[in-house]
Amino acid sequence: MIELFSYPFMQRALLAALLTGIIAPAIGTYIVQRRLSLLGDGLGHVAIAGVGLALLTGRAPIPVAVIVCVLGAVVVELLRQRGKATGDVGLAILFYGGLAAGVLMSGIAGQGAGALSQYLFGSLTTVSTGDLMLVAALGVLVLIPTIGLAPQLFAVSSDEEFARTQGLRTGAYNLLIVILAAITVALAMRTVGLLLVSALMVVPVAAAQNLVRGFYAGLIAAIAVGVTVSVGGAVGSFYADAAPGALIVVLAIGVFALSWPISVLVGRRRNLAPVLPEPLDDGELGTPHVVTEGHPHRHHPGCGHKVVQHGDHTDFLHEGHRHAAHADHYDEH
Amino acid sequence: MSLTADPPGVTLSATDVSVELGGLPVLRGITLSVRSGEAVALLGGNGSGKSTLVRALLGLVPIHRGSIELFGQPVRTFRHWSAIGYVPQRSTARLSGAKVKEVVASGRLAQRPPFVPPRPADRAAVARALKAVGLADRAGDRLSVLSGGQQQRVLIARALAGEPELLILDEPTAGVDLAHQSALAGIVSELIRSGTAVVVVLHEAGALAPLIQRAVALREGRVAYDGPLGALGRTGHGPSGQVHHADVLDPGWLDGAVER
Repeated sequence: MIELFSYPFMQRALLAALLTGIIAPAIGTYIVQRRLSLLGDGLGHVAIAGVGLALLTGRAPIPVAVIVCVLGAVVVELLRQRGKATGDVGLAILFYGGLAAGVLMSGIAGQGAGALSQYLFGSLTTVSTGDLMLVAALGVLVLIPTIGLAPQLFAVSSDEEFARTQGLRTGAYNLLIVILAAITVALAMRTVGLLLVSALMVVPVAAAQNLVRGFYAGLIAAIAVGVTVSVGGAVGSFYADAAPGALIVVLAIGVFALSWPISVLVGRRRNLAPVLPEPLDDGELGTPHVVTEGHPHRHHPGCGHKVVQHGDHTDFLHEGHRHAAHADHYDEH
Repeated sequence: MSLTADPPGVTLSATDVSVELGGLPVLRGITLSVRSGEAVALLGGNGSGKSTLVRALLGLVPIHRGSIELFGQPVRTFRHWSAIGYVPQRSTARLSGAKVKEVVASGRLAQRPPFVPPRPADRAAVARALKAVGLADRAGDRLSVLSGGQQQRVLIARALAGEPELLILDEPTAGVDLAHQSALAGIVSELIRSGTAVVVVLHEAGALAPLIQRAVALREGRVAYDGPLGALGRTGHGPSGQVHHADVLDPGWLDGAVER
């Protein structure tokens, strides 16, 4: 394990994976909240055009991909805000146009489609010092508004009209969300890769929602899951000699799969003794109930029947109704 | 500033407002003003334009003609949003994973500058709003585990958290039982006493009826009636001899079903 850290390329790759694991689920939380889970996938396709352009012009791929991806995101969002993106067709043309343009440009550059694959699924050995500096600088730039503006971004992405009545410029905030997502997608191409980055934006968020309650707890838990699977996947791919992106996403889906039974167990424990609200408007009617006599079983806490706290007494769930001890008999509620 | 400056105390004024949605006229020449401490009910059948009017008043739908001013400022350039509280028609689909207190806290965003964490005053306002709607003990629960009526009260608490001077509610009593409608009436009467203007869209007056000082009935996008709630039923063209109860609104009249 220790020798892993003695390789400079591996140190850079792990740091890049750590940063990606933080920012992708963080911005992904708002993307999922806006019901735009597949936006990251589309932006990944646009970023491929950026990589193709970089190969063609002989420039560093990440900066070019960031610029192209941000431009694509702004176009998509402005079309959406003006109501011009009728259906999904306009977006599909933009996204697949990006993929086709990327493959075409890298072909013309004499690199073939194969040269693209390290950007599609990630590649640990290709993270240069310059890449790492850029990923770190832009990662911090993305993280500051993602965390600092969390209440505003939560309001805008969950209830846009209400956010406007709070004086929030929802158009600007929505644009900010897609720009931050575009930067994140382009930065992630060395670690998870452009085709799988969307999974790192969505799957940890889905897992977090199973594990914790609330928006902010979900944001923190999604980042925790993202960091775990990104660093874990990068380490694992070193030993397995596999593309890190694939392993990171498989790990994320594994965490999501585990979060399901956990959420059921946690939910069951929380539901053990739900409190029934007393109806406010009882009036003179009282609550209708049936008196049962000759009940052979004596209910007590821990007798195995599910209990419900009901006003001033405890009911026991029993064959589809609630039993409450009343003097020498049970009431069926 | 306009030459016809509003008299003091006017929180909301709409002049000759028309709205078209998808090319169809939804509101036609609506003129309406609401003063501080006044409680106005917007009534009307389905499709009469109540919700569209409320959304136009808040600048959420563009107006085709006319003008809208909030506290003397045209709504397009209005910035003092901390004075406004809005309870939309219940639509909590995207909020369902959030905690109750997180939803209510978003009602303080007009008071909070960006990048500034909530201050003690913000937390206190959120706690007061939750207490006012009787949900203080549910603050940490997911919105999705609450009943429909409780979710409605959460949205009301979100609007109360901003301590508004003008509170606009869109059908706050839909799906809320009478006992909780009375609880809401208690909250609203407290607000009116403290000088808050209240505009409430209602399908039926229900428990809020005693508080309503003025009813504005819309029909096909026009103001069909503007006056005391009690007199509303009698102005309808019901069959002669039919006496409407003062506090019961005949929905058929508003839908046009009882015309002539």
